[in-house]
Amino acid sequence: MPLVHILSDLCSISREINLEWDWKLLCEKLTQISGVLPADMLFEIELQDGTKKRVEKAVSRAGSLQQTLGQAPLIIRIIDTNENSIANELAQDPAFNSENTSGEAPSGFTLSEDDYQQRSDSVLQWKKNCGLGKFDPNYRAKLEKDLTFQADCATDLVLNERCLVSASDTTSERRGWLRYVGSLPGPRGAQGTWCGVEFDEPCGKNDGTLDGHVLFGPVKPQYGGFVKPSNVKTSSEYQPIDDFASDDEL
Amino acid sequence: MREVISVNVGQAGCQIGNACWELYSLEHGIRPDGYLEEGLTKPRGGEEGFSTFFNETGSGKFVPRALYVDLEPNVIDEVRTGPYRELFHPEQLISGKEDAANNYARGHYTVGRELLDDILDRIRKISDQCDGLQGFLFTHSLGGGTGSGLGSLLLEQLSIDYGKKSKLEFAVYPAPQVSTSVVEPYNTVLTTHTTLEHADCTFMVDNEAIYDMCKKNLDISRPSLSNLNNLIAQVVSSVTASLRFDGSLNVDLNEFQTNLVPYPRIHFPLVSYAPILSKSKAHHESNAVSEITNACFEPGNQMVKCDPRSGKYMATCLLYRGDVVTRDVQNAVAQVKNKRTVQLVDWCPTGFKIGICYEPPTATPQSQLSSVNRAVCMLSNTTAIADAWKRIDRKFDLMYSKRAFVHWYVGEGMEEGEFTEAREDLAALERDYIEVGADSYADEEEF
Repeated sequence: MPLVHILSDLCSISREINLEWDWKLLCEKLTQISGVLPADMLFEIELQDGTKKRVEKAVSRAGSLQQTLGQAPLIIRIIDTNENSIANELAQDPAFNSENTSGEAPSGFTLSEDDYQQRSDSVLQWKKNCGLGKFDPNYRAKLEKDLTFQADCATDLVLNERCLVSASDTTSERRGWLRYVGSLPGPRGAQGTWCGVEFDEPCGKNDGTLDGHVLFGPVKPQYGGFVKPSNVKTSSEYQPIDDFASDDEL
Repeated sequence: MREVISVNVGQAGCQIGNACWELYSLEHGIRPDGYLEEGLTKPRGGEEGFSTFFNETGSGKFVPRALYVDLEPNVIDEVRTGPYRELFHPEQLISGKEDAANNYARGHYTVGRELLDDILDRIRKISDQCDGLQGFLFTHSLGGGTGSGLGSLLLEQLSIDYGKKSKLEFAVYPAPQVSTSVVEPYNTVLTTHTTLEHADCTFMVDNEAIYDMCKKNLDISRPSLSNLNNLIAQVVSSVTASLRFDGSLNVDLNEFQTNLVPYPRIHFPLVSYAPILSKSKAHHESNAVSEITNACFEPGNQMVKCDPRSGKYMATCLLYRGDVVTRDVQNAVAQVKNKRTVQLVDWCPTGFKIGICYEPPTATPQSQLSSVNRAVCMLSNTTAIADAWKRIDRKFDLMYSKRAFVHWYVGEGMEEGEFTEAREDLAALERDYIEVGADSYADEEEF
């Protein structure tokens, strides 16, 4: 059986097609793949010799594929002629084909926090049962000490001042503007005080927006980021670094 | 003896199975007819490891401990007539007449259930040939009807029949951009819900990620399904190498679970592999241990598209094979631990586990992959893989809010309640991953 490439707005796959099938059977098989209903199907078929053929109202066509086409198809493109069909509706939904996972789909399923708390097999329940993470008194004490320390660090910072962001294991420091000091919303489990920085260069992770909440800006993508207060110092001394300033002109 | 039975379900599962058994045969010096290559007196790699995957019959022939199952005959007919037809006992190849029509419900309830007794019977026969069965290795797709429906049905049944024997899966995850069918999100969510408590460890492979590797790293302009499957087989082979070759560290199937899975639901490690080099590029690369180890942290070497830099690691296994010295490995691991992008969950014990198998990888003749003297496969349990669930859950929601195609499932006797139950379980899984990542307050953390 020849291998045929099946294409529609919602699918792309190589399938073996039996040329002895009649058109109705082909339509039914392709419905399972493409979601287009047999009655709405229009085929654009590319044959092995390169010729193209349009088959309208395929489902009611008599005879086998072999009889109509005379040879094996290479590509069958399925077009949905029904503008209001479910397949068209899905294909036109920008959210359906985007890779973007941030932000909630308007009709999305949400699990309430209560329902999650009720589940007996959850990671949360495991942590509770075994005294892990925030359910471990020692860890909790360490965490709280750190939270207080970070909050203390934040009191020395000046909002909307130039700033320097350092990291212990890297020699490269980053500079920018301190744009936000406070807590982070959303379900990430980030607690305590954070600093929102507008970097001079695209060395951040976002544009000042986190899980749909605009905390500052929005600035240009990758120019924003949120770091721990202990890694930030503010002062007008921290002017942007011109990497080429020290290069002597030849 | 610690035997492992491979179960390949559905079109994708069977085709990956083919690529794997071809590769295993080459690695161990077994001809397509099941006899030893000329000049060998015993299989390569030591008999004990070898016997975990192959059974020796009285006549000096070796038979894979494997089962092929598909609801439609085409793919398995290709095995029956293909170059490896004599390797398998006809009873190891089970096919039905009517396909699952991309429908989980057909694979799980109607068409698939009819084959169930037959399949379990054959699995029983294969397990009777084992002295100390370790467990099962599944290959199937999450998006196809047979792979998702029948695959999950078998996993459920094996839990009942074989109790706590390990069950590992290699599962083909739907590609983010191109769907092989419109109902993939439904099938994936339904099968993941059903198998969540039955599979001990699931390694996901996304065809789009593999496709990109074939294009970018192997210079194949239009990768075919067999190109993809050859690359997947190479990865599966790396993971199973330590089970198949004597003298390797990390030799038990359940060690993957012990080392990688802190809590049963969080059992989807991200797989990366390096080097992936075409024959023309291979001579220009030094391929040092530190290089291939670092390459595992490149998104281009990951089997699933997600961003580990935005997640936290619970555990990491580095499985080296070939010409590798322990000191080089220790240095490479020390380097990795110092990476700013590698953030660990700081409230639970996390670890780096190393496996070394001294047999280098083998490239099949038709593969574009160059043969190299060493390679590494990284299995890392990172919260970043939750992106994969987010993606599929969103698609599920968009379709289910319109009740699109739900009647195809109800028509096969499934209740609508199973959709909501499955979706709720996956929502809890997403939430579980957040809970794993929570409570850490490391200095270097950044959003």
